[in-house]
Amino acid sequence: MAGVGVRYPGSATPAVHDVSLTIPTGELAVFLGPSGCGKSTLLRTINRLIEPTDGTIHVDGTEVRALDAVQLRRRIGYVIQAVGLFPHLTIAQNIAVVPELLNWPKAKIDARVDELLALVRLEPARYRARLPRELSGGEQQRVGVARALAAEPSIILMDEPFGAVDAIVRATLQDEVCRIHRTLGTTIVFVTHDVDEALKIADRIVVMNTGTIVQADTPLAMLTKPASPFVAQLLDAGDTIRRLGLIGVAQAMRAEIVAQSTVTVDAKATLREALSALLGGIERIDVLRDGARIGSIGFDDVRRATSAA
Amino acid sequence: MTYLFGHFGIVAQLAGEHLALVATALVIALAIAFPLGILAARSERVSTLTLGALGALYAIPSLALLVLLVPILGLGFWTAVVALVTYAQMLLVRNIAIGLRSVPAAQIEAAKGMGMTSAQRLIRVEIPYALPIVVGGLRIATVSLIAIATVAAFINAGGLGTLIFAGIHQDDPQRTIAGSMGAAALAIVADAFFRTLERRLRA
Repeated sequence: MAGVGVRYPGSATPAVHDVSLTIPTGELAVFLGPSGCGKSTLLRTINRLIEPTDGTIHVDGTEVRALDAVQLRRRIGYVIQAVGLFPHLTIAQNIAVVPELLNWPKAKIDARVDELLALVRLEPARYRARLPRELSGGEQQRVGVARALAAEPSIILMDEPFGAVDAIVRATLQDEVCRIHRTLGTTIVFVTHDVDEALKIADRIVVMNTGTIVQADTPLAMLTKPASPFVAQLLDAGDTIRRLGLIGVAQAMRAEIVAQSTVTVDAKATLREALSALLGGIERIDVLRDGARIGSIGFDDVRRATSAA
Repeated sequence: MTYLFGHFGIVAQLAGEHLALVATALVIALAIAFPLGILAARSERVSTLTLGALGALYAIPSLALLVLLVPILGLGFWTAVVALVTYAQMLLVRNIAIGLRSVPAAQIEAAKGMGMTSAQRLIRVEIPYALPIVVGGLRIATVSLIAIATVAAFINAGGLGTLIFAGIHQDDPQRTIAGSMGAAALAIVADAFFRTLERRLRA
């Protein structure tokens, strides 16, 4: 994106102003900011649901305005908060919408639907023929995600996709998005106003306020080096506890092994889990990788890692 | 009742004519009402104008409208069809427009975002969503037209009204009763049919 601006007719201030941003292929970028900051508007310029009044946007090297808007949208996945499944179509038919618009052969569509249902962990045989209203909100949004992935888009846009589901389902769906992102390597642009959600899933957070980008950085860098008081306040950056979930045990541990520790923590876990285990009562616990003890971590390591970060 | 049972063949034949009149009118009426309803759903101005005009036509008494049409179109079946089509428009256009407007914004947004053209959106998303409401309008229109079509016999368009008018002229209440009951039975059956269809579509 280069110099992108959106000005709605009759509005004195632009909704988005002079935004330049590059999202590398395969990144999970999160637009974060308060309501009305322009994050959704900016997202919707990517698939041309909103036409920018200034600047240019390139997707995979092609200027979006050089393409027909309808064709462009079929190549970009889109997930919205309200899901928007079509109630008269079965789950399989809902997922098949874009492949059908693209005239895929039927056998290929059927195979793709089953593959996607399995990917979002809805058993194909059970869910294929159901109607959207027979599903819970969380299940519906899983279908929403599957539908966005259907035609193998290179980018998926997600506009506050989990804003309407309860906290437990939201956490699961966040994990699923991260897993799908790791598995498929699809570029994801995700809009949210939920700071914890952004910190949890983002490769990079783009903080927006009043239509402009305030800071774009990794979650940990954003917490440790907020560029402005606005960012610091939005992320509650002074809260060290928040950093714990962003630092891996492997980064903070020492190579020495405490032979007797019965409580252990996995190297792939975060300091949050390590601290939680440490608070169980002992000074040092062993770190496991694939079940073997490879080192240990203690309160001092957690303290050092969070303050150094 | 005696006439009805004694001349069942005649009543059935007239009921057939009656149905043909109503069905022909409904097919033509739907063909006109769909484009009008779609336009009315898209624009508030078109909606106000169209429904206002159709409401005014709907308010003309049926006998008066038929008689007014005779000098222009002559007597017979097609004149009656024109009148029936006119009456059906109000009910059909209104329900089509209401149905299309009731499609939730999220579905429109999703359909756009997935790359449907506006025609694809209409056919794949908006019309299927609106269909139960459209069938509801069709049900009311059918029942109304079955009733109004009895008057069409006055201009030689046939149907069960023939019996009713014959009964009046010949002071033979049995015929009037037979014609009325036939029309009522048709209306009840049509209502039940469309109700079932509506329920299936909503399910």
